[in-house]
Amino acid sequence: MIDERQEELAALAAFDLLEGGEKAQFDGEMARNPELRRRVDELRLAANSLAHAAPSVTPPPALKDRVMASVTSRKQAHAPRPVERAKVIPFPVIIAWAAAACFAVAAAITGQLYINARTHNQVLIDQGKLADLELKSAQNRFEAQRLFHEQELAVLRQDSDQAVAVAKADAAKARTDLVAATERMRRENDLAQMKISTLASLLGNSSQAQAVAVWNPAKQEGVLSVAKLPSAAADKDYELWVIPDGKGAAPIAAGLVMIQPDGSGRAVFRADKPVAQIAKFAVSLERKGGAPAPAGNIVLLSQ
Amino acid sequence: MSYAVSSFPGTLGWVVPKRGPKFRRFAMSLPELSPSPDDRAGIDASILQRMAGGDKAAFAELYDRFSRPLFSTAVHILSDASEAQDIVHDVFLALWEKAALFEPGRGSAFSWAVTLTRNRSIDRLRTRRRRTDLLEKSAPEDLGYQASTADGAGDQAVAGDEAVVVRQAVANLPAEQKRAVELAFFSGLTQQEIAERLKEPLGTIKARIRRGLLRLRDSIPHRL
Repeated sequence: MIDERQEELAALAAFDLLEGGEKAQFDGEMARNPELRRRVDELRLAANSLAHAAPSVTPPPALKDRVMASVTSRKQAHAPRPVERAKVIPFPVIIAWAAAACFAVAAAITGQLYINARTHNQVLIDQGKLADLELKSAQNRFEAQRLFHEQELAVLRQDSDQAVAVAKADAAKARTDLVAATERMRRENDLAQMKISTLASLLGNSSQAQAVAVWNPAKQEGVLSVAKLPSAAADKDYELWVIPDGKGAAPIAAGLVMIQPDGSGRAVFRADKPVAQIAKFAVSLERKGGAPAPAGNIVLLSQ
Repeated sequence: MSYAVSSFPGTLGWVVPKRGPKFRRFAMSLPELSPSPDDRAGIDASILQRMAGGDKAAFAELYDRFSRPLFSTAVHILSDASEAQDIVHDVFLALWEKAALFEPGRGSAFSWAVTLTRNRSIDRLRTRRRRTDLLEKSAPEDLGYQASTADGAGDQAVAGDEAVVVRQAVANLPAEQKRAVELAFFSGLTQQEIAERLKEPLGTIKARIRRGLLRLRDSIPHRL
């Protein structure tokens, strides 16, 4: 049974107008439908009759000569041979041939199984070798990575050590700078806190005598520098006194002052007792060896 | 008097007088009878059978029977006589080489030869660079003949009985079916290209080709 759609496709097939998927699908339908196949043949006959409808043109005579000359050397395809009628074979021969066929089949199957087993075995061996190669390759890769990481680690450690050394050096320098700055600040502070006093002469006959006293209250020590003070008598000594600030504060002995023949003298002195704040400095002429409390005349007094 | 009885299948009733003046006079009074379509196909098939055996005389006979319509078809498709000669040359070589492979049950020898000619011509056409221009020259919408059968006697003699019958059948087709069928056979265009050429939907063109070809099948004697 052929429907209209199939008939339409058959007409197109007769003109070789089917292409691609449409052609493939129709070829499949034809293979399954002998009636459809016959319809296509029928319509192709009708289509090819259109060759007679082309405007008639006589081929040149030389064309026939050319065609006839060409076929001389051409080979022809041979038709398929018809199937010959089978001969009658005796039964024992059939049995023998059947047995031989069974043996041949069994041998072929066994042989194929053997070949398959060998092939499979070879495949397994090859796969094993391949796995070994892959394992070695992986191991090499890991080793390479390990070496690379070790190298990176060494570089990092070196960088780290350098950084630590630099940090330490910086810290040491910072400490040194800090100590120096602290000392500088301390000195500046000490200097700020030092008391500097000039002592004027109270001697009528040595009015040029003068002295300068510098007192460091933090260290509780000071320096006295004297100029143009006449030497003391043989039984007398000049003695320095620190007079604390505060009403009625008693002078504190600060040691003897030795005078050179040129009238100069220098003494580093400490008070016998701690002094918080000094109001004045004084130098008096006392008995040889000094006195615990001022008894003689004051020759120099800070202003 | 002796008679030669044709051995061609389907022609056992055809008696050809070989000798005898009386019979010759009798035969001369009979109207000129052309072989029927089936007879023509049978004759062609037997020629191919002889060709398969290496008979070059049979080959020459087939050439004389087929060359005109095959050459005309090739010229009409290609619009180039020189290329058409190449095509016809190749087709006849193929017929010689494959004569033994021809299956009469699948169709006529002429139909087979036309298929070879048309396929080669269309392949050649499609490989040309100036395809569009050539298609306009080679595929006119009208082959140029009218519905009337009053062709000149000379043209009929040149064209042959088969051509007259086929041209009549084609001319009797409705115009749109005629155009579709002619383009389908001669132009080398695809279904879509034919539809675009005629400015019609693809489904309409398919239907026209189907109806036109069915009409031709019914109008033209079997195995022309």
